[in-house]
Order: sequence, then structure tokens, then C-alpha cells
Amino acid sequence: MSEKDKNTERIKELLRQKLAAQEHAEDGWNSPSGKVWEGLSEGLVNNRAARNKITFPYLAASLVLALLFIFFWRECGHQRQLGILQNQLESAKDSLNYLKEECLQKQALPATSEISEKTPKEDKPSLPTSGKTFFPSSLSHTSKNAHPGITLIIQNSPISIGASAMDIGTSDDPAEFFNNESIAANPAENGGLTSISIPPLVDYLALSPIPNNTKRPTLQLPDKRSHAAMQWYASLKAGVGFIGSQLAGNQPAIIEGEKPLAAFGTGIGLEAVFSKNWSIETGLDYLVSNTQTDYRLQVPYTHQNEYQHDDGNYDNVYNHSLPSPFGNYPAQLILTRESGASVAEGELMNLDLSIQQRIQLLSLPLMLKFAFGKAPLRFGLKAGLRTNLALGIDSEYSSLVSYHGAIHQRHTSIGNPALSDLQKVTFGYRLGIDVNYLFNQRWGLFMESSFQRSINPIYENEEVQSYLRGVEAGLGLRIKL
Amino acid sequence: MFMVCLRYAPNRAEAEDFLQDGFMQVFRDLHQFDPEKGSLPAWMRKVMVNTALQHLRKKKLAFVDYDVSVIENKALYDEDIISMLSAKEIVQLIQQLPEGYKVVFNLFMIEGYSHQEIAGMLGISENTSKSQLRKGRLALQQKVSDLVSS
Repeated sequence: MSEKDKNTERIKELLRQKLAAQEHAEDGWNSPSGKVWEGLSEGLVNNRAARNKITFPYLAASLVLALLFIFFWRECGHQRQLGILQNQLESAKDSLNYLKEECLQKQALPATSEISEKTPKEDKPSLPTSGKTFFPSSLSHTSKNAHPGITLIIQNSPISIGASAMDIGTSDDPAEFFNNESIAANPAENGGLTSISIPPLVDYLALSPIPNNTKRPTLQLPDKRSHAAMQWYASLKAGVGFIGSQLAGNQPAIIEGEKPLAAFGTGIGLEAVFSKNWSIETGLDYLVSNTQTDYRLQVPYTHQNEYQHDDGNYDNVYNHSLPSPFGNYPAQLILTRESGASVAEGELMNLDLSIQQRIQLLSLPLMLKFAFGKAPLRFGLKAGLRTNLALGIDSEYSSLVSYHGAIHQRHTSIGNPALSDLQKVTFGYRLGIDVNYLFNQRWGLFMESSFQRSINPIYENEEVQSYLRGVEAGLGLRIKL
Repeated sequence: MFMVCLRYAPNRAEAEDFLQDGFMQVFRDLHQFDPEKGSLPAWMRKVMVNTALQHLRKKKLAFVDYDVSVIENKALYDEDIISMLSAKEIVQLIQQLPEGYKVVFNLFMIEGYSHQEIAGMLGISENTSKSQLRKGRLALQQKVSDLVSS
């Protein structure tokens, strides 16, 4: 450590010791005025009220989570059931395809094929020696077969072929058994084997190992729809947007500009499709919206409200009601005039201030939708009402900027930054479009865009009234229930 | 805690504002206080400093270089002079420093943060922090000299 660093460390220590000693001294100089404690007490009361409102977002989030849980739990059960049935269906399909392939191969072989040159023993199928059923692998053919069909080579044993369209019965004698002109028994010289020709038109079901008097199983997917014409869809979405406000009564304009910042939202939806083109949508959306409002205030300076502060400077307190997109703020602005500086009575002060707000909304839309287009791409136009429930607001404000050389801001405070007397529920209309892409009959992806505006102001009894309005765009998944 | 605020604020009235907001922050974030990481007063002091910085940032805290006409090779501080000054005088002298100098001086000399930490807290480079501290010390030295000579 250099000499300079050592010196610095000594000075640091000395300063800290001196200041620490002063912190514990009770000479009044290091004690704040009573206004601090009053402000603290007031702030804590407001803070408690704001904290109570935190329960609303938690409630909303819990509700959304519960709905999602129920939805996915139900969906998983459904998928599991569907999976079992699909496996069964696949197995059945495999068996049928196997049957079909083998039968087709037999059918397609010409009478002079290579295989026909084989000796019957080489071609000997693994026929059952007894019993009443046989499987398609026991099918064979012979070069002497006059018919371009399938020839069954049957050992001298009773056979049975399950039949549906063509009931061919049971018999020990193939010729008798196939007592039909088109099914001729050819006592071929096949080393003790009997070959039977079957015409090309074969009912594969007749070759099924299942006896013909058995009721064939049918596969049915569960369909719990109570009303065949109504179809239900659920959706899960997330999106961005810009939510601001339209102000009425902002005259003279003290709001210099309002910039809606990004809004983020998520939600669940439910759609009831009651015809090919028409449906009704509802759901629950949670939206967090940010906005910045810039103010240009013009106030006449007056010496009447001035009071001299401890440091010799003069404080001048102004109380204002600042309109904002989500409500009006009672604001206290304190300007300080340097003790040596002079300002004329009534001189106009231009002051700039900006407030950033973050509002949390829970919305319940009810929309009528007209859908058109052919799958997999369907388009929709929708219109309806939206109820917005304001869960709470957080506010941040900048310092006051004064353009007067002799005046600088000392303090800016915004009363009720959480806007606790905000009108909780507003109603509005909503217009939107959406595009649905269907992956299959059940799942789909959708994009939607909408515009909304409230029809009642968020504050009704204020001079400047603000109406929520904005655009949103979202992306989501849609599933048929 | 009021002393902490006084060192960062340009005057007593603003120090009271810092204190009020700082205590509000303390009540709001009390659940974040971890006794294993340090004592309550130390944590509260940190909150006060952060609140003061937040206030100053809102006012667009500027790190500008002022003309300081002090001979640099002179011993930066005379320990005897520092010992001679009261805490109140020291705080008042610090208060009179330009904001950038004052903040960096407080953070480095009194709170004990490193230049790297200060750079992170204020969003400036380490070199700016060092330069602001050096000039702040020189400015303070000048003020001390003026006070002593008067």
C-alpha cells in the first residue's frame, strides 16, 4: 500500500469516527423536523392500503392456475384413455393389414409364377391338423389352378372359415363344403393335399379368425358432448399491446404528451361454436400495462405562500391535481427560491414533470365471432364487450424541472400514488380479428389482434376524464374439448 | 440515518425528504432483511444511501468536471485540520460539493465502497469514479482551506 493510500485510509477512518460520533449526539442538528414523522405516518397508512390490494393479483393468478390445472388434468386423463384405445386400434389395424396383404399377394400371383413350380411339399403351409379355424398363412396356390384366384390347400381335416358375406359353412369334404360353382374343389395331385380355388372377389372378413357368430368389436372414442351441434374450445394465450387512454376535458392542456408503453398480457379463453361460422368467446385476461404521461405546468409565482426554511431559502408550495390515463393525482410541488434571488409576483413558471404508471387489469371479454375460410386456415372477425377490473396501480414520478434560473424544485410528492379511489370496474367495447391454424381436428394455433376502448371513464367525477383504449396482439394455443 | 441523508442532499429540507422515503422503503422491504448478512442499522444505512441515489438520479445526476484551482501536490488532507473541524462542519462542506463529486466521495470515503462497486451503482466507468473522487477531494480541500483561513 502506497503512502497516499495509507493516508487515504487514515482520513477515511477519521471521517467515519467523527460522523459516527455525531450520529449519536443529541444536539438537535442531526434530528429531522416533525414533518418527516407526519409524512411517514401518512405514507405508512397509504402503504397498508396498497398492500391489501396485492391480494387481488394473487387471487386472479390463483384462479388462472386452478383453471389451468383442471384443464390439463382433464386433458391428460383424456389423452391417456385415447392412447389406450389408439393402441388397440393400431393392433387391430395391423392384424387386418396383415390379412389383407397376404390375401392380396395370393390373389395377384399368376398361374405360371415361379412359386407354382415348387413342389407342393416345399410350399406346404402350416395348416392346422385339427380344429375349426385356420389363418391366412395357410393359404397357398398351385400352378394347376385354372382360376386366377386363391387356392386353399387343405389337409384332409375338417375346416372352418368364418364368413360374413359369404357363408361357406363347415364340412369334411372340400368339394361338398364349397358347393358353389365359383368355388371349385380341385383334387390336385399335391401329395395328399387338397387344393381349393377361390374366385378373386374374396371377402376378407370371411378369412377372419373370429367365428361368424361372434359380435365384432367396435372401437368408439368417448364423446361426451351433450349437444351434438355445439362444440367447445379452450385456449391459452399470451401477448403484447399498448394500452393508453383518451382524455376528455384536458383544457387547457396540461398534459404535454402521453406515451403508452408496452403492455403484457396472458389469458385463458373458452369458445362455444354453435354453427359453422358463428361462435361466442369468453375468458379471463390478465394485463399489465405501462404508460408515461408528461406534463407541462404553468403556475404563477406568488410570494404570499412563501415560507423561509432553515437554510435561509424560501419554499413555495403548490397543490395540483394531475390528470393521468388511469386517474388524477393530487400532487404537491415545492419550489425553492434562493434567498438572494428575486422573482416578480405573478411571474409564470414553466414546470415539467412526468409520471410513469403501471396498471394491472383483469378482463372478462364476451365476444361474438364470425369465422370463415377452409381448414387448416380459418379467419375470424369478432366484436363484443369487455369488462375491466383494475387490480391496482403503481406510480413513479420524475423530479420537477423548472426553467426559471432562480427557482429550483425542492420536492415533488404525489398523493395517493396507488390511486386507491380508482373506479374498479369499467366497461368497453372490443373489436378484433384472428387467424387459426389447425394442426389437426383437436389442436390449433391462433393469432389475434384487437382494439378496445372503455365506454365509461375510469374516473367519473373529475374534470379531466380518461377512457381506456389500446391495441393488443397475442398468440395462443386452442384445443377442442 | 438523518446524517447519512444530509451528506447526500444539497440541503436540510431535501435530506428530510430522503429520510422519509428511505424509512418508507425500510418498512416496505423489511422482510428482505437478513440478519445473517449484517446488522439492521447497516442494512438501513444501505437503504438510505440507495434512496438518496434514487432521488439524485431522478434529478439527472451529472458527473461533470469543475475547475478546481488547488495545487495537487499539496497533502490532500491535513489530519489535524480534519480533527479540528466538527462533524457538522464536515457534513456542511460535503453538502456544498457538486453532486457528482459529493456522491462518489460519500460512497468511497465514508460508506467504504470500491470504485468498481461505485461504477456499478451509478452506471459510470471506474475511471470516472476515480476522477470524480480525486476532484471531489480537491474541491473539499479548497473548501477546508477557505474555512480555516476565514
